Amino acid sequence: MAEEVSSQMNSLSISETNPSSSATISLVSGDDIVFKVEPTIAKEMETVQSFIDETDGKITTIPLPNISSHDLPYVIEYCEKSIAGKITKEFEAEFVKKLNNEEVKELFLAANYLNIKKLLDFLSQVIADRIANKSVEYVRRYFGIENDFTPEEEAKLREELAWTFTGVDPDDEDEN
Amino acid sequence: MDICLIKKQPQSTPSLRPTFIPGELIAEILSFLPVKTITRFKCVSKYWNTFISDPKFVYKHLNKSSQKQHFILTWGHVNAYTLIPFPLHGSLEIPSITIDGEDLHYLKGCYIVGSYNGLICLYAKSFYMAHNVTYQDYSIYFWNPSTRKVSKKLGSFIYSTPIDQSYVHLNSFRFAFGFDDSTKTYKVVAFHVELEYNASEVKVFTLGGSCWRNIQSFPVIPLNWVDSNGVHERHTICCCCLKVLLRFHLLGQFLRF
Repeated sequence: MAEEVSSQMNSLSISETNPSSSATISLVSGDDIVFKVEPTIAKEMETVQSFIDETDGKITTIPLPNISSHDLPYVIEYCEKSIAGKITKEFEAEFVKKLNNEEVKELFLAANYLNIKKLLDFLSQVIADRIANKSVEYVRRYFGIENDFTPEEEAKLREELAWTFTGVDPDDEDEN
Repeated sequence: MDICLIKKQPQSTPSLRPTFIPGELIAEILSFLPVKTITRFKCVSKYWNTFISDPKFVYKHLNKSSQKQHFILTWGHVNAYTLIPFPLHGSLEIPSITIDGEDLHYLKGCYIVGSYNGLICLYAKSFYMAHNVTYQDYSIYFWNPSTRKVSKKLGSFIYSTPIDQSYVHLNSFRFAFGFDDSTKTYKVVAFHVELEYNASEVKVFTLGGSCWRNIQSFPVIPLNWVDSNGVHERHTICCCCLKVLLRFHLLGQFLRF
């Protein structure tokens, strides 16, 4: 699988259009694809920026083993929009429309790892919206959580919290 | 910045297990949800049940949700109310709201003192007379409409006056409710004045404590009575009585204007 993604990625050009600007930063995804970005983009990623600062800017190739080449372009796209001040409701709606549940979670973890507060907050809201009206069973599947209550414990808790079980969507639109 | 970005079509991740999100990050996500939803999710697992009830998570959620204002609509008669809390979105525009029957709360025998951080303080009062003495029996309750929990009766006390001196209305206790940020505690101030003696009595109840603490009273200048309970401002409670505006600092100091 890794090779397949890799060959697909290599066929796409990742180029810099403004060579006069300061040195670009190379972000290396967990599956060894290099993404060259402007230093301003790196600044949005606190984890990357602090790595650059710690080495006095001598190191400009940053390995990001926890982030795949599938997720990194989304992160970069969001950071670009953020720098340009173009994070609008419309952009966010379009951005998130492209992502399935697994991808949203992966990006959420990437935003956390890279410490991009705005993206993390945005994706927290997206995930919250996706589970808001869902059943307990849906949420367990969504996060891969095992139910460790005994049937008696769960029945008792559900009875106590019966008022919270109104207005829950049926589970049939479950997708992943 | 014109990097030719990879505009790949989203492809489903071929993993069998869903991406694992650690507990502290789950808390981050859940803090964006309303209380009712979060409460339902206590049934997800034992861990979720524990951390959702954890004060640290409650505080995190409060910080986020306190940016959203809520109103409480009340209507009713003498001492029985119907209440409905509803969120206020953005500006001060009054939205038209549809009342959902399940959000209506009926209260009998209680008066609202005030609210803070979504917690509403109520007091109950009853009178009775015996052997030429009038007794006023007070108690307070705390009510969280979001979790639908009402505390048990707290801080009950009785105030008695000889029947011939009982200007019941004037001698009633007034209440004010506030939050002491330095100790993270909710406090209720009860105060009353005795016109004929130019005297006053002030006491404080701390939520989590068990009794009222009497504090320094204030001299009274008889002007017109202003019939109101106190209002909470930042760190202070303002009590309007006898047209003297008193500010009670929640740490226990009077500031007088």
